[in-house]
Amino acid sequence: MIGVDPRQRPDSAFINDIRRRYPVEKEIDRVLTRKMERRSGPGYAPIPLARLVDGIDALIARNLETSFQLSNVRWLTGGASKIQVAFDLEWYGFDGGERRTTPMVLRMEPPESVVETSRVREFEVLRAVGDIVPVPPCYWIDAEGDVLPHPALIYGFAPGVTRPTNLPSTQVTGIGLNYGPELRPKLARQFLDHVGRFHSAGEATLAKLVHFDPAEVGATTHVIREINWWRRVWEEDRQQDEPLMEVAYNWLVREAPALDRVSIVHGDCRGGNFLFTEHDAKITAWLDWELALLGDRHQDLAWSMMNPYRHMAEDGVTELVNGFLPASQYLEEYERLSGLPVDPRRLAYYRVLCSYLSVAICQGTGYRVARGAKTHQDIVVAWLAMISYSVMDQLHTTLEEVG
Amino acid sequence: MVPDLDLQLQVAIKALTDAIAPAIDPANKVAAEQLHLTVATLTMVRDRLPIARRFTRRQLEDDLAMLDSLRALVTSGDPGRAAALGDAAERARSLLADPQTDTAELETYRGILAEITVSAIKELQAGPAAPAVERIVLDATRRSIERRRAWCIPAGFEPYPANIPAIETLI
Repeated sequence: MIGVDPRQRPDSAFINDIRRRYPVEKEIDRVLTRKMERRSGPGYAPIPLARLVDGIDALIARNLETSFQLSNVRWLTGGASKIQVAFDLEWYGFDGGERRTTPMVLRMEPPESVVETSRVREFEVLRAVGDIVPVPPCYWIDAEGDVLPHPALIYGFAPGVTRPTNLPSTQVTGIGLNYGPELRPKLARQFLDHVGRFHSAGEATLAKLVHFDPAEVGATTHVIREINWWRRVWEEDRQQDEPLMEVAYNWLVREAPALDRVSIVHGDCRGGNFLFTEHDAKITAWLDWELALLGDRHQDLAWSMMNPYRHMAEDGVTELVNGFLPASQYLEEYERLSGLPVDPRRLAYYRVLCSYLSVAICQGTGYRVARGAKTHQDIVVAWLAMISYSVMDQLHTTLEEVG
Repeated sequence: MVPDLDLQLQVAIKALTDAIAPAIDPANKVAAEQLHLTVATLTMVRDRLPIARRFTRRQLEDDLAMLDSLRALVTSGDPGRAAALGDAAERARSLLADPQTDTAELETYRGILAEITVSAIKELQAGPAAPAVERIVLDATRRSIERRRAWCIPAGFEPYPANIPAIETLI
């Protein structure tokens, strides 16, 4: 009864058939195809820190002519998708000035990740939005894993924490954060202000995103190719199919709204994906831009308002979305700070899309990478897969509501 | 039998908690986080293992009910498809009726049945039955989703776990 799983050892016919049926952005096609071509290769094997030090040395030497020295190299936790190593770099800077020490982070892919994304795009968007919102400075990239074991980038170590130290979350990956009544209003305002800023980025910023396929006002191309992206991931990675996912896919294609304004969409826009300093409650860096794309601002709003990121306020009756504000106030604040309107119909549409892609990631890819032993933290990824059913309920409920 | 699966899991969890955890360098946060999740995973497996077969049977019964509803839409128009769906439903019924069918077999067949069901949905959604198909799937998946949410409560991802019925009441 147990047949061969074509997704575990895909041949070129299987890979190309899915590529043909679900066309996606050029760079997304490249990374997803690479993933499938490497699927039957080895899983993750522990990488000695010394090997990464050699790779970091080689990557920096390739880009710097002056001398430098690494120290204080250590593993970092946090996040479910990438291998992260912190270190201090003693160097002369790009300007060849005084010798200085700069804390930095290596962010490297495992053999397969719970989200398979492009380091080139991540590097590009970090550099593009740096003048708009605080992000870690991005230094160097090894796009193809030439000198490191896998594709990687090096960025600056930003100060701050993702969660209040006196209100520790018990959850992995920063899901379900409670910032507490003191920090909450200060962070909420900055969060929504920053989101509005990258959503309303101008042409000059968008033009820097050369590895992103453009989006067009009045068209649905951007969202159809995004639906295809996650449908493709579902087809490539899942263990077994889900009838609800098929119905949702059809609904998403049928109801796709035309774009009213082109925005930079963060893609994983929520509490837990920014750093803040506790002494002054300031957001110091927006993190995890790997899912960024050009599209509809409502996607980030819908994502940040997903059910798992909600909790009750201290009064026990007021529900806070994204750990910040009641839903209506959250949206009003966004509109006020950004100057951009929120369309409830689009928001509902993107709530379905966000649910769909979240199930594809957590249940589809989460299963596949853990089954293939492809990451440095399979146990985290397998645990995270259990969020799928809460999200699937959100998908089901929203489809019922929108008819 | 001694040791039974429950006892084996119990002692493994105890060893990890009492002997291994204190030996881990507190500075090694990766090791500490993975050990924490290892203990949580084993604890959840220990809790769910005794009811796993019942759970999977209820899931397959719900899958079968959805397939039967979809079959009613194809019977007249496409006899070949109707026969294939009938065979799949018959196989599910025979597995459920056989006391020797173990959990893994049931789960494997659930995967096969899901592929068959989705294939039928794809075909039906291209025609006039599309709204009826959507209604059937939404109705038929409600209980199955709730059951899986209840199963995964220990993972801690539900914002309001008290609103979800206990798994024992859903299987």
